[in-house]
Amino acid sequence: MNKPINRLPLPLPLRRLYRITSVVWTVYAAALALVTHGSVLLQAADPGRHVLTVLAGLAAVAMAVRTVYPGRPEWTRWTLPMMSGTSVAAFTLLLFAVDSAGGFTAGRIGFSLLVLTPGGIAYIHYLGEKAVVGR
Amino acid sequence: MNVPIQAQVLAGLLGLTTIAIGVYLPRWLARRSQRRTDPPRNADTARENP
Repeated sequence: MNKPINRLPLPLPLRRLYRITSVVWTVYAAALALVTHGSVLLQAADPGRHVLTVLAGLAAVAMAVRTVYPGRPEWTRWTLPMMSGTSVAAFTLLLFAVDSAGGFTAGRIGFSLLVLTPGGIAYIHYLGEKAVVGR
Repeated sequence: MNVPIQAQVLAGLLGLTTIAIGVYLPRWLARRSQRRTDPPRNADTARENP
């Protein structure tokens, strides 16, 4: 009986790669959760920022699980679109918060773009997996 | 210094739109490439194989 491709055991090098990327993504997701929770700019964006903190925290927990179980990427693939959506929402909230906090500075622009990068990476990765690899 | 709730809702909708595009764009691309690789339908084959 042929197993579906996402049930095949992953080869060891791929599991190691997934473990390393999962550590990076755990840090990235935890960082996004901490930013949405504690950023001074976003203190003005209640209650939306709390929703984003919860979502980013969920992604961080899922990535920590994937660090321990790298051979089952299908368990946590749903976090990729969620991270991209959370990152875009946090970026948009930051733009509004910056606007109501007196305007843009170089630091605020850079900070907002940094918040957007997990979204960009997750988006490219997710689209690449679906459109190119097909799963 | 408060971000209005409408702006927060807009930010949430933008996030959801990002997710929706990420989910449906690959399917659309797959359907489009399938249409391109399917053999062309012409009048004769359409009559014989309705």
